[in-house]
Amino acid sequence: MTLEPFFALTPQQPWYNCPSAEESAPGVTAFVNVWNMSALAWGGAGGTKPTLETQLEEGWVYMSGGTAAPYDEDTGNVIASRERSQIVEIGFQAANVDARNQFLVVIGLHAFGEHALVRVALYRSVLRTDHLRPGDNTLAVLIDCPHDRAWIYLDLKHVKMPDGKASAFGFKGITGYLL
Amino acid sequence: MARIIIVKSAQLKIYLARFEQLLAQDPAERARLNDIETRHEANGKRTPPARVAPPHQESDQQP
Repeated sequence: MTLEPFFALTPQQPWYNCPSAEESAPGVTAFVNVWNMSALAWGGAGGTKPTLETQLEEGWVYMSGGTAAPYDEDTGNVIASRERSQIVEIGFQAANVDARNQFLVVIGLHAFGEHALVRVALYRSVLRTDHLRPGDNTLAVLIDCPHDRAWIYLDLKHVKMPDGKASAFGFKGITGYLL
Repeated sequence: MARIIIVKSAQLKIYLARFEQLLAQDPAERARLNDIETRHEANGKRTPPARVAPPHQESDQQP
């Protein structure tokens, strides 16, 4: 069985709106918002890579290892210091759905080193901190639908390893499916 | 192979209740989200900019 995407977001297409085609058909509104990315530190005369041009052409955004948040700052399993962290904020709202539905959210990330950690949160509550493998990574979150037209908020926060090491990673995109 | 996180409705309700408490303590964040929700429900316009503060201090660690 092949699932059709319910919505898809990338840095080049950061919002999506598909109203219900019919009165009872599911519709969706979704957006992605990126905070405090350090792209400007890369490329340019220094010759560091990936360059801004690469990011634009390939359609992803870069999260610097140097400005990752401390591993242990999210006390109580709640995302802290959001306004000064590198965060990918994802929000979506489905219409004409109910509590029998689920959402499968598939996230594409690309790690540039051995020490890239991403902390995944739902409604600011930490779900898991994942150690990314160098290269492409896929994370998936399966969420029960709270109710019709509920806004769902996911955060991807860049954090350092417990020993303070950190590697950069890129956010490539997110695809949502309605189950 | 994708790594999957599963959130069932019982846990979701706990997260939602905690989220409402957080927003009740942070009217500016509540207003920002209200703005996002209103804009997108209207016709899918772009999100307003995030609230920002000085980022975590840059270290000399690079990838």
